[in-house]
Amino acid sequence: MATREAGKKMIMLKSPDGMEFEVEEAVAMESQTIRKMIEDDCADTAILIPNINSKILSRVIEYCNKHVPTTGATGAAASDTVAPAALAEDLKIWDAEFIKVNRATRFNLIQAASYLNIKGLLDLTSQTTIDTISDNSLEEIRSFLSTKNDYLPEEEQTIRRENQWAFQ
Amino acid sequence: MALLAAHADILACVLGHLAPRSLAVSRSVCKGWRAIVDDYRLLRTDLLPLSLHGIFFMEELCPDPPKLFANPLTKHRIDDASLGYVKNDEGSFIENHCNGLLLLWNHLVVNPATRQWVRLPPPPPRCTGMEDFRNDVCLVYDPTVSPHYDVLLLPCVSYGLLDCATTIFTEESEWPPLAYPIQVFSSRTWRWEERSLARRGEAAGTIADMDPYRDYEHRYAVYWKGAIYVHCQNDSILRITLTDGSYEVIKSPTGSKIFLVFS
Repeated sequence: MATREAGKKMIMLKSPDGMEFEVEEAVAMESQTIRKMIEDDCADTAILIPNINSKILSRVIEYCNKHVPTTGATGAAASDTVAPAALAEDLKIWDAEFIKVNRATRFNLIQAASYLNIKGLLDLTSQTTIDTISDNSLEEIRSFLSTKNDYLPEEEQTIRRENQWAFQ
Repeated sequence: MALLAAHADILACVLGHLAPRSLAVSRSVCKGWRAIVDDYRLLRTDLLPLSLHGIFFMEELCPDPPKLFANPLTKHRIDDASLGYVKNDEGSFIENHCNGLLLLWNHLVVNPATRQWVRLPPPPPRCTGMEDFRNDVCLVYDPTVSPHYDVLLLPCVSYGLLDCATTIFTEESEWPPLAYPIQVFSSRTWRWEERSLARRGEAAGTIADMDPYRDYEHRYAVYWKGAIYVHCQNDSILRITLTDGSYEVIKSPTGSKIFLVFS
């Protein structure tokens, strides 16, 4: 149900486990997927967000709330006076705290960010995942991700030879 | 593997954040990963691996357009080595280069393999107090690290100090200073940034020790293990870590003696 509250248009998001979240339209539109639904007038009633449980959805909304641009929003006088660089630094610190979650939650967040098409959240979650595997050896990556090496030794040799430069 | 197949889009998105070198290594993790790296064309095989295809050369004192020394196949691919397609009023003088990217006068960056070129925004004016120094310019680019590049402006000692009113330096001052102001352009953010790098360890010497800057001397830089290494005055190497804003000087074992032999 789209309602009006204090002059701001509200949007209802529904998770598959039956929870409903009322959020400002501007916040919901941080998701390109929802933005498209709203622009195509498909958002009159509550929008069902499939595959994203209420725990993850509430975190995603928390992220969007923080990242929605404050310019033009009413009652944002405090942040108007802060320099953009300080604001960006603030967001970076906030992001670093936000992403301190376990691996399963992070994976769910990546999935949600991908489905809802929220670039900032997708970059944040992907980069954090990459940071944990970048400096590890192949064996460490495999054990970290519980993935098995399914190459035959000679196959692995061939694959390595294709990008020999990367192993030097 | 079923999990990999079901989440291929997501995994591709995550792997897309890997540096090309790590991405190339990750093809060996398992067949599923290799399939994603290859199917989504995540690895820029057109840029990699790094290999020498040709050499640009140009006269420095009376700069004619650059010429290319390469085998006929490469020459055919790079059909205009004189860079005539670049709109630059001052001609195509190659000021610096790194792994196939060229930096021309007037802050133009050119990729001769793709004929793409771009003009960087003008750098901010020099910091107050640094007017006595001239800027060495160098381009840093390594497609095995990232598709992005940086351009550094590093103050260096020119022909001694000119006694400008704002300077805090004397001939006996350490060089480079404890707080070394540099300017960095990043193609990632598309803007110049002023950085004051904090020195760790010893300086290269004093300002009086520095070999006077000679025109047409070029500085080259590389990325290595998260840092930038720049060949600097007196043949010292600066190891710059932009993430924490620090730098170290690695002195040449021969100092500037090599210059004396040849001068």
